[in-house]
Amino acid sequence: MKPDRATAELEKFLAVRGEALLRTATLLAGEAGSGEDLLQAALERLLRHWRSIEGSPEGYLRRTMYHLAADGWRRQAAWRRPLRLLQAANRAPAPDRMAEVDLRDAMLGLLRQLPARQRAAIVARYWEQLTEAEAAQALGCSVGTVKSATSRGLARLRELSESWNDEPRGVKEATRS
Amino acid sequence: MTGDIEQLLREGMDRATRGLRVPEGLAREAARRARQRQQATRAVTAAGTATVMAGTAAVVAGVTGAPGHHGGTGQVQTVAYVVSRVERALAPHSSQSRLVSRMQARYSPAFGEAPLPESTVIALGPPGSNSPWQVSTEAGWEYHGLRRQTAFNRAGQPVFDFGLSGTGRAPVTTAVIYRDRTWWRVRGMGPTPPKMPHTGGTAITILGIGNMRHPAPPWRLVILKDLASHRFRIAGHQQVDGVNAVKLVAVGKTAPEPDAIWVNPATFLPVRTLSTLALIGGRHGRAWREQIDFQWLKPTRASLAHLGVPIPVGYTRVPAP
Repeated sequence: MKPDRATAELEKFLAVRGEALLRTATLLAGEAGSGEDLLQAALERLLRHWRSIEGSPEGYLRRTMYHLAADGWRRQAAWRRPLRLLQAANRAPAPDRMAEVDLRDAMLGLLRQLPARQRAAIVARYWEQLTEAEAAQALGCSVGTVKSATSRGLARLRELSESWNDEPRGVKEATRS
Repeated sequence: MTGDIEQLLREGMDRATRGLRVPEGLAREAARRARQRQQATRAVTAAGTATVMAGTAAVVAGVTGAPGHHGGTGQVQTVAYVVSRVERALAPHSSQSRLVSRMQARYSPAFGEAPLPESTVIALGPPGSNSPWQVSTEAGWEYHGLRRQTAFNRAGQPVFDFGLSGTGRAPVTTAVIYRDRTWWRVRGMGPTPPKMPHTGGTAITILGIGNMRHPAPPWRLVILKDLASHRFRIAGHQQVDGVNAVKLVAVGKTAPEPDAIWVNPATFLPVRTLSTLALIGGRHGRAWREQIDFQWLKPTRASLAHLGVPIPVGYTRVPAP
């Protein structure tokens, strides 16, 4: 299949399944911008192997995204990009008071603090609702690794979310690191 | 307890991603990039061979990220080649890692910034002209585990001096706060979690949470991360501080202006970076931009002297925040 035709096929596929894939990619990457980059990286790989893929490309895309994410994907840009806001375009800061924490940011902020493999395991188990065996297949690791990564990830999230209670209500700021 | 966090996760992940839309043209961009990568790989292989034969620093030419084309006496390089050379120059074990880096940063618009153990905290929002933590420019020095940043407000007055020394689990942070003539020093994060200062003006826009448990990374690692995080194209040459620098521009960024890195073509060390710290209000919203000029100096007694944070006479020591 010629690249142009492959791209057209892919655009049709994304029109139907793109949103679901992007939601997973965003959770795996930790923020919306990086999620788009992650999905695009998976699309690139898909196009390079387009001829050899049979049937729907969704399975290949999902596996690729998980592999990239679990391997500590180089594009996760953990230092600078966390500062990008995910707020809606028309949402102005509240005057004369601290704005409340955007829950969207809050959850992604928590996930971002997990190591890549733990985050991928959490997303596979609690977002995609995969079994441990399915998650292991998606991540390219053993069931035992999925169990331990999930357990440690949950423990860390619990610890992080508890520490929030000690901070001033509604105030979350970003460090340079 | 586990059940609570699982429920929170499910609901939170749903909320966090609800309404996301695939950007138009993502598939086309992926296709274009896949083709470009394939072509660049071929060209880089050829360019690498040519460079070994020449045994000299590469000359970069061309105004495109497309594969190089050969002509004249100059060696035309692809962006992939330039990026790989910059990555090598900045690598922790490169010969150039033994240089002292000096940086001059300008922030537009100003934001709130305050020192904390092992890091500084940044808050964006209405700049708050009366904020004691308003920071407009910074001067910095780095050498291995040593780091110093001096922050200035729009009037050019020093706001704070921040020094980090030592690596590993417990680096020592020293900070001087000029406003109230105080200073503090602490090893590691200190006995208690740091208190977040109110760094902004009347309103703070929430940004997300950085990792408070790790020291701020060295600038060379920040640049390496940026290089790994984006695709770049070569956008010609520009004079930066007397260097005819190669300009690398990030492709596909959502910011009003793309991030860019200017590189010395002789050493492949960055001489300037331009990046977006944050966007508020989407693509057409407000952007906080950061421009940093770098100099790379030999570790002489004079250059190393800048790495320490001098405590002004008469200043009072206070507990770390």
